[in-house]
Amino acid sequence: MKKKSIISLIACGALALTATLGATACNSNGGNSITVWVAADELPTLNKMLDSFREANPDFGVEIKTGIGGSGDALSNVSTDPTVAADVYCYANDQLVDLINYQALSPIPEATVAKLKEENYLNAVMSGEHNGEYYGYPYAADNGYFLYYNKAVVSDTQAQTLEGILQACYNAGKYFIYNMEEAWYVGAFFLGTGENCVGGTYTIEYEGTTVSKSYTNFSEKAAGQTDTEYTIAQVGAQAMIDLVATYKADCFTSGDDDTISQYLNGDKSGTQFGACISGTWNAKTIQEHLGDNYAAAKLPTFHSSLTNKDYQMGSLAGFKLFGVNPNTKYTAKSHQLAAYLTSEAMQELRFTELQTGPSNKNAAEKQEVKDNVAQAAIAAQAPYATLQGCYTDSYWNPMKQLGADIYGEKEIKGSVTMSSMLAKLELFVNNFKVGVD
Amino acid sequence: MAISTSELEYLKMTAWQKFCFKFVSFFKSIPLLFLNFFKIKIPNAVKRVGRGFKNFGLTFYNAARHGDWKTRMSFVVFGFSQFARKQWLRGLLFLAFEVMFILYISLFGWQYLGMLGTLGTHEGNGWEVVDGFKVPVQGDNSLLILLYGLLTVIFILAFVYAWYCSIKTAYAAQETSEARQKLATAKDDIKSLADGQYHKTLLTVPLVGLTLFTILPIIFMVFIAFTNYDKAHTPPAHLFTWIGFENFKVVLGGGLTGGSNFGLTFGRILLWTVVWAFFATFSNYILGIIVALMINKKGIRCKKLWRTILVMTIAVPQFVSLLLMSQMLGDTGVINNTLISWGLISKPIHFLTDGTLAKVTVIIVNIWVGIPYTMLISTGILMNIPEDLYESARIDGAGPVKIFFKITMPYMLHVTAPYLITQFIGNLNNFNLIFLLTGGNPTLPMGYAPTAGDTDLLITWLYKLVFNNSQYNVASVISILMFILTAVVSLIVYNRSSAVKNEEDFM
Amino acid sequence: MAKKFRSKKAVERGTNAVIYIILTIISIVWLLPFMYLIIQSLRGESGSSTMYFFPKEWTFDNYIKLFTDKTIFNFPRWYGTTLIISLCVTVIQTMIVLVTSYALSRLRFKLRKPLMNLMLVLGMFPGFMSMTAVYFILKLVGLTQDMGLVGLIIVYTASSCMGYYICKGFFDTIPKSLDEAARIDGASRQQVFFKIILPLAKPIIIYTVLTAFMAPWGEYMFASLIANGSQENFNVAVGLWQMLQRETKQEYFTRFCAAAVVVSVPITALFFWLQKYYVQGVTGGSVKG
Repeated sequence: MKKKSIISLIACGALALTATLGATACNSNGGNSITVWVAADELPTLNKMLDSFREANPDFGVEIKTGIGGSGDALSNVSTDPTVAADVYCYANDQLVDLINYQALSPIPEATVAKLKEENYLNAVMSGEHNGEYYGYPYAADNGYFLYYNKAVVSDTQAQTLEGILQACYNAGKYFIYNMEEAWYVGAFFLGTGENCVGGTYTIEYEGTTVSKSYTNFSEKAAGQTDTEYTIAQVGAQAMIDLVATYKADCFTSGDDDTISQYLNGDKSGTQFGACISGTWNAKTIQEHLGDNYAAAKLPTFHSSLTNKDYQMGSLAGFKLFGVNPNTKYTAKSHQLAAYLTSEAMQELRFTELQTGPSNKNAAEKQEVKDNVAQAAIAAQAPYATLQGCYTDSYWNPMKQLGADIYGEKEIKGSVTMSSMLAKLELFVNNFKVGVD
Repeated sequence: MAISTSELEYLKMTAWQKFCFKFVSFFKSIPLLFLNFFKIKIPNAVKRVGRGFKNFGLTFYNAARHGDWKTRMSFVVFGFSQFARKQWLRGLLFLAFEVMFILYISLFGWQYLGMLGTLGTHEGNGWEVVDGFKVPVQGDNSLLILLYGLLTVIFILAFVYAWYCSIKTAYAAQETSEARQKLATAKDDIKSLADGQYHKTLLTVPLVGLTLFTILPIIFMVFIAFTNYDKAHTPPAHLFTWIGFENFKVVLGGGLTGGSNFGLTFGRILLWTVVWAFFATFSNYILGIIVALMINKKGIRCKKLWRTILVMTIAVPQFVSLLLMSQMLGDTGVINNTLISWGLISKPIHFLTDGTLAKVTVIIVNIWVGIPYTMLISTGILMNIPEDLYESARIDGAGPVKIFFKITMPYMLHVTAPYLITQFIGNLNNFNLIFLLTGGNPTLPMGYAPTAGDTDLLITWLYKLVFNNSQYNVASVISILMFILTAVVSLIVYNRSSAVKNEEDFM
Repeated sequence: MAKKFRSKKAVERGTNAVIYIILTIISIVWLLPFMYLIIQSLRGESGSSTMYFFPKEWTFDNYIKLFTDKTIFNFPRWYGTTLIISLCVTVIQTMIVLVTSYALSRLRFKLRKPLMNLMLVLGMFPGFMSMTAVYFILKLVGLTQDMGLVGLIIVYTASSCMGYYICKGFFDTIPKSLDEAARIDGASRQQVFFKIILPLAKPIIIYTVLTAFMAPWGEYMFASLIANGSQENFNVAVGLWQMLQRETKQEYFTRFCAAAVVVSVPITALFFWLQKYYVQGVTGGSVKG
């Protein structure tokens, strides 16, 4: 035991020193700049916005940097260490509560909130509200899904009903694509705030305006059902079972964006695409492939074999907002920048460059926006859309399981009966209840 | 096959029977090995640690009792005795360490150490108004308190150890000079670090890295298992705190995610994990050897070309090749579509969407990924098999199949047993393949915990628990249980395997 | 006798033919995903996937745009970053693995066995569980923001001594009589390491270099945490993953494939070139265990 770990002493000591120095030196955020995160494809547009911002505010005094961070990934990008995340970043409104939990959003001053409410659709502003505070500058109102169809296959009238679409696809040997294995889309058969939806109206009153915000209660009776005992869960599930049993593999398939791309590209004889349910991010690709036959509309109605009624398919709709990170060095300046990036002029620019549906009323009323096929469709779907609040995993997981079970025909192979589904649905509703609390 | 098979019977067996026998008796002996592990190994280790502590205390006692003033000063000022005895290199190092440690604790460490017991008391909710803007009140961050607190504990242990070394060397030096012998100078120290103490020179950097970036994070995660760190208690807005063994009760009692779901799902996934590891390992192993045999056969040309083709799977990043695989194998993917257009099938084969078939698919894709490794390893070993073994077998009239089972396989099994075990344990935790190829899908039907899928291994399921549900505490419990299981088994296996026993063979 | 000899030769030729056929089939199966990758990268029509194997339209644009079109994605920059990371990791990791293996194989000290066991089992703890902790340790010493890449290299290499296994196995096969002879001639252990062991360890060095070099190209989880949205710090995996996001996938998928080809070509070439040593290294190492 003569020469004790001398070297390990040096190393430990050196580390302790750097740690001490590092800890004292590194408690501030970023340097002297403001960082803005947007999705990669929005970077060129953001740079244009920043140019005009700098021009409008020559004495802003702080350098602005850009980075990649899409609105869908905000939570995962920010959550590990909010103190080093961007000063201004975009997020989809369903991540609001989690982001607040990570202390990653700074509330907007009241005066600014009033202005936002005046200029934007109330739903959009409200999507950034939690416990009376407002945390986001809305800039996009198109985070939802609707129907795309191929006019060469499906006529405008046929596109009104699910049965019409499927019949048209069947006759033409083309396909209808709807992602039944993804919880976000599965809600289409259950949700909805319009009068014709299965789910009925679940809304709250806010300052005299109706804002749809609550969960759909799946164990409640379906809309308009007083004489029979069919619940929302039963009606929706049966419609999905019927769809799978009648059309799967012939002219209906469940699949993600890859599948949509595969059918669009089709085979040697050309495109195989009849119709699909998807969102604005696919508009460009679908338009490219279909050319003049490109069309979009609100979601169709479906016919329930249980109640013998037609129901409008509902959807989840969300908004995208810019939030300010409270860990920023420049709170006021970051708020100023976020407000500018979501102003009317910038939302118009965003629409021209990226076809984002504006949340600003004036921008949304512009003729070009109304003429845009996808934007018109999402506007038409809006009355039947439920605001995508902060659903927890106990909503998403059972929903996904239900959809996958039905599409995979698990335990319901052969004759599909409601009775074989009942036990399953009970489980589903129970699982779901656990999640709501 | 009974475990009491006599030696004679064993010798009579064919190679395969021998292998099976060994295999079976290995599994039969596992309980005994476990028992030994806990009855002998652990008490021994405890005894050794106890002896260490005794020596530790004795050193301080002796130095304090018999030490001269130089040695005694070393209790307060590290390296004092060394300076006084002109061992300036050692003295400097000890002193520098003490100064740094005091700096670290006083500037940084103490604040976290103090809160380690509660993990913070001041929750950061509410707002304060700064310049007209509401700013969240910064509370204590339980995560950082726990992590930096543990780091400080490690530093304190290192400090105590350094103190011990300082005193010990000081006293030793005193004894040496009292015996009128020559003291080691700085030059001697440096020389010894290149020779007698060379392992310290070599291992210091690797071990410091290992401690900071693997051991400390693992200790941290182990401690998380005793807290209530979940979605409702995420820092920095909320605190989490110690809750003892509650999480273990939840996991072992099956009380997670809605009643009996959890236990059922856990059991199903565990079973599949083991089945998967078995098939994934042995399919790769046997097929890999066969491929290597074919490539190495005399008279086969372009050996390098064949090998390179196979090895290309290693060169392309896995997330690319597996992503493409999952696209190709999809219900509407290129493989199904080609088969349909050739008229071989009329409906798509659900390679990845049917529960049972997906399990077969991942094993087959794993063969695609894994064969090149086995092929490379066995290529070299096969060349080492003495040619006369084959020659005599051929003279005895053995066909190629018989030769394979009688000579090749036994030889390979003998030599590559450790590799086989590594592979098996690696496959138990084969995160990449499952995560990238299927993501654990297709989803398990209603009645199981809703996050789990048919092809999920324990490790991918754990990932979902952490990143989708933020159940850090429960995930941590599961990983501890998994870790104990795999670690104990592999330690037993390794220390029994011939490679470790015969380590000194080549001396 | 002569006739029998000929028939034996015929059998031999028959077996070889069968083997050639099997090998060809295997090669096709093994190459299929790569063919698909290359073909996708040459696909002219857009979209993230097709049902058919051969595109309707062939083009080289994806490769050209990959390097010239930097409006959104800066692939050359990611490539450069990853190359630098990879080279640093290779150098540091190789050194760490070699010294650890030498110490464990040749030097005898008190904690050797416990250390070997410890390093063996540590790797069985799921890595993603400790990611947050590793991040905050790095942050403590200021290696996450501007110094992020240094932090990344440290994380990739810090625990590389855990991979001592194969390399130590190789060192174990080098006869100890060689060191002993040198020790008798008065060489120190350091001299033995540099003058005796290292010159004999070429295969295992190449094996270690190759495995170390490849790993950073596919690492996503930690790299994305460190990159923190800034494209200057993206490695190839993080950048490619960004291409596959919902908003960009349909347009950039073919370019993604082109990028994957560009990434894998040099590694394949390295393999082709160094295959012999790689085989020797991995064989020597795994025999002893």
